[in-house]
Amino acid sequence: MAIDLDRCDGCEACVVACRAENNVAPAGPEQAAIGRAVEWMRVERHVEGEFPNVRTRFVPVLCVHCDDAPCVSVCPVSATYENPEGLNAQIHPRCIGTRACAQACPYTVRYFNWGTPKWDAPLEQTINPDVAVRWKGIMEKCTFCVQRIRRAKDEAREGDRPIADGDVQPACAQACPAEAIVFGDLDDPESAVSKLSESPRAERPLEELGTGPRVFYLKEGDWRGSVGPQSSD
Amino acid sequence: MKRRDFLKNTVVTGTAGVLFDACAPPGSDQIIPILIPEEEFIPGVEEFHPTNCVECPGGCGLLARKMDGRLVKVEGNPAHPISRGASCARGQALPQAMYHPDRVRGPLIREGARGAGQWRNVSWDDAIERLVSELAAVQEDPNNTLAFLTGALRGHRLDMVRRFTSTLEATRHLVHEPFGDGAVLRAHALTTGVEEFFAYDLENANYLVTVGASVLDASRSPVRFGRGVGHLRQGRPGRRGKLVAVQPRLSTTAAAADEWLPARPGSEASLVLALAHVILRDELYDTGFIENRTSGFEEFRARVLADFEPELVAGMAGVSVETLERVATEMAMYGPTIVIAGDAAVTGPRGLGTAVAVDHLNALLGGFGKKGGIFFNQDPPFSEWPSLETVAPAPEALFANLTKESDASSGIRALLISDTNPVHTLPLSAGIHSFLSEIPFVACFTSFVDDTAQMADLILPESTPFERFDDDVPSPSVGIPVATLSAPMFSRPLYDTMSMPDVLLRVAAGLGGTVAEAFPWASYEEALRAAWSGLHAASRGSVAESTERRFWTRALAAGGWWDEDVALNADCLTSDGLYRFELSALESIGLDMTAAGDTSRFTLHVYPSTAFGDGRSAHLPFLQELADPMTSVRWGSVVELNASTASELNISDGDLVEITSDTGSLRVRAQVTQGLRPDVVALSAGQGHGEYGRYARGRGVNPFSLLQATTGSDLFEAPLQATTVRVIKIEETG
Amino acid sequence: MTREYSTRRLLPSLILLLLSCMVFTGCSKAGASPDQPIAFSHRIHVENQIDCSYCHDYYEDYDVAGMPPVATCVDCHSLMFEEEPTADLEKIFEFADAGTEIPWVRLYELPKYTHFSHKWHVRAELECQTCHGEIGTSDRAVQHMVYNMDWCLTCHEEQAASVDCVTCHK
Repeated sequence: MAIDLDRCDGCEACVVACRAENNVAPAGPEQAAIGRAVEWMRVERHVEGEFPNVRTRFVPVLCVHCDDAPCVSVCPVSATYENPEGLNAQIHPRCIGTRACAQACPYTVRYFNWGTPKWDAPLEQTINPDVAVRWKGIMEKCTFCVQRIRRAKDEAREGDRPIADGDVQPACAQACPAEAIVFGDLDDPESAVSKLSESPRAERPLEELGTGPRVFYLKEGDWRGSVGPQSSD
Repeated sequence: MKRRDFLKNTVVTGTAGVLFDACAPPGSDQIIPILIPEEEFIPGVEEFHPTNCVECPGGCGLLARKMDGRLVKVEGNPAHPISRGASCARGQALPQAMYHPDRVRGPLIREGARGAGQWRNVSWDDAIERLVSELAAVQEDPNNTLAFLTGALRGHRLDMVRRFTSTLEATRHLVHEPFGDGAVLRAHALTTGVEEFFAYDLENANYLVTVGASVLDASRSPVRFGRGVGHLRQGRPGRRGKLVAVQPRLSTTAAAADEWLPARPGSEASLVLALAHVILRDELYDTGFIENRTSGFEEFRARVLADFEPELVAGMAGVSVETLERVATEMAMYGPTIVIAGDAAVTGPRGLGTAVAVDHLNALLGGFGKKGGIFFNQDPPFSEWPSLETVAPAPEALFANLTKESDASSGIRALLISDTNPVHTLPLSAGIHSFLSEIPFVACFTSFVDDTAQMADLILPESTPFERFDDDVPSPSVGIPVATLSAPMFSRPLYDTMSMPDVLLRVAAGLGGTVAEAFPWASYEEALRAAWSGLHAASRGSVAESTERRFWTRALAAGGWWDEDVALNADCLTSDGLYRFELSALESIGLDMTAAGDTSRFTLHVYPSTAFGDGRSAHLPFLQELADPMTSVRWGSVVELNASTASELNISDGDLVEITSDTGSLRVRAQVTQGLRPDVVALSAGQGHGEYGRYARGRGVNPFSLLQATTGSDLFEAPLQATTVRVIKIEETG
Repeated sequence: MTREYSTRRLLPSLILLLLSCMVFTGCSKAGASPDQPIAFSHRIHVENQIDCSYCHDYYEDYDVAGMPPVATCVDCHSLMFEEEPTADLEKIFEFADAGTEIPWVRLYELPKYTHFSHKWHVRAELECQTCHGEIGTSDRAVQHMVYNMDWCLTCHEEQAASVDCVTCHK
């Protein structure tokens, strides 16, 4: 995945889109107040400087599906693993809730179900049947919308064709008005995400830790010098 | 053949399946306009139904995903010119509105006192009968008036209301839209003759300046602007545009911008004219446009050169001369440039002046009609409904009415309310409660009992957009004619609800006579279809079919009609066809904003929230749980204070403070920030509902309770940054 | 300090363990045969040359196999004239007249966190009997066996089908 921080404007469409797609129930005011809100995708706000010279950057943060994930190595029951395509998958019924994975994750993108997710009737009607409803005592996190990947593969197989670039759009990428989030096959050099990953602005978060993240963040550009005086057209 | 194949083929041939490829989102089967009853769903098969979002003025076309007979998700409609497949946080929470536990499930009649919240369920027949009898009584007595109070409606929903108000005698149409940018519309009318929001070619612009309008988070059309700015930034290899925000507070938009000019509230107009001064002084303006397409330039130039030197404005506005000079030069040198005004900056006594000044700045830069510039809306060629002899009353701003000297409610015997929540979003001091208490009968069309519906005598539950026929003409649009169309995606509404236009039809039928004759349709669907036949007759655009039946089916399947082949247009509709450098609105802008004498008072800045807008989305739990992009607040409110101000007042982050204006007071936690002028405190609109369902009720604070309702007939909405307040820390025991 | 493990203390844990094993090995037991609203006999229908897909007509193209709506039963049965119609046959028409579907009791239910697609299994030329047993020759619908992950995985490994967890886990 590639996330262009120069396009992102902090609108948080991705945050709610992910919630709605993946059946992430709101924790409610009391639980949210003690830091137990579950947000597979969150937008961090990094602020520097003092008034009036304030610089702000919005960073959408989600599981970066590490190639060498710390969470995988600490899980005692292999409830999380790296699948052949590179997804860091979470298998809910295996999880016994040690929360070691959450401790190990340097991106803080793993969330524990401290209580049973609650839907005041009839809000449970909005539950997406493609995604499991989790229960108390297990971990959950971004799956790159594996249900959409599954659907795209199903359709590709049905149509006897390979998956094309752009066939899979996680909920966050689909919602983003600024088109800041791009998802695809990093193994395909022609894919949009591969090309973005090669941008001089591209960086991987906390790369120095050796986690091998599969999400590239593209830094903000500088407008100076990139536009000329008013053209005559 | 198998039984099921027959059914499948019927769906496909009835809709010419190949047409949907352009509309279908990745991974979808097809968009199905023919309703498959909920009981007949196939588990695991997704259907997409086009619908229309009404959470903000943006008017995005959406696709609603139906799985297992229920609504589980919405996406942007990829073909819709406003959303182009994207959506926003509020739109994404929409399924929760449909299945909200506190939806009104049937008509309700008040029991007990007004506002007590005690209701009795009645049938629709009884509710309509009550409505008819009340309205008939109004019609009989010449001293009585019926008032219809709405938000800023569009499309044929507006046309229905206007038709209703023109057919009934002695009817007024009151409008209340707290962040409606009414001054911008008036300014556009004065300068170009076009009283509609402009369309901006953001994708080809290089420099975008927003004066007050939080275009990326909560104003007017966030999805369309988000896309436009994203493209302006990184959509064109080798070119990266610049965004400048002129706001007293670092909003999400200003935070995303490349430069934030923290202008003093009320100084925006002078700042804009100071930029104009530099452009005029250095002759950087578009001479071709000025000479050929405008009138009144010389007088304007003389006035601005004389009065608005950057040196005079800088101190007052709190933005340095160097910045003003540099930004003005950049705007002229690095175009195409677009300047936009909105939100708090266009409210209050200088609001109209600000909006007009921004229009003039755009004219100086010659943006009208040029690529990367400004264009006007073009209406879709609907068929007119049968003409009436009577004329609809001109809309009146409710706020202006309430703040006039005279008794605003005099003569109003019955009040119908739809798509607005004035009890929540009017300053308390404007007197909405006494206004309502003078009116004998109040009926409210709504899906939820909100602060205003709580004060009604009769509640007429609305179906959600997923359950009703409706259309919309988004504004601002993108310069081509766009009409959104939505149809019910379920075979029947979830509860015993009806859409407002359908209720009006039944009431009209009940009133009989000329009123009934003016509404010759059995349903709103029929009325819409009659209007949309004009789009069929046009034989162009995204849906062009040989028969009207095929056109209607396809338009429903596509979610609307638009014509991308229409040439963009920026022809002024003034009497001479020229852009007018009108000056009278600038009279109210003075350089007489002295520094505040009383340093213990701060200007209160009220802004629309990313999660709730003006408050209409506060009932949705996903949005209450959403951490605000700038304050990170969930399930509550904070007041933002500048860091140095806070330290002077001995207030730390998280302290409880009391904010007091001349007309109200509230207590809320403080948040200390660098993103705010030291002389300003900021409160987001949206919370502090007295009533609006379990998730919003009694939560957070409502800044409208503090705002002063300054009198003045020119005020479209309450001034959002003209109230001064005191801030005191409250010691908490324990 | 040593701990003493008395049987009394251990018993609740043992029971819990046993119950969890039962839960994790499938939601019901092999051989379960709940009473159905109508005593439907697969055998009679199969003997009359009706293919599985006539009623369960989604299994070739969708994830679910599909349960026939009462209209399917009525289609044929309204044209048949038995000399002595049984009470069960009459029930078909009672449901149809009332406008309600027959409330069949679910026989096969996979955990909600799994995804299963009939389509791909059918297209892999699996016979219905492989998973559903000899239901075609039975008078009562009997759950053929307990579907635990082990059982599914064995076949997937043998057939070189995907054993990636996310293929099935939602």
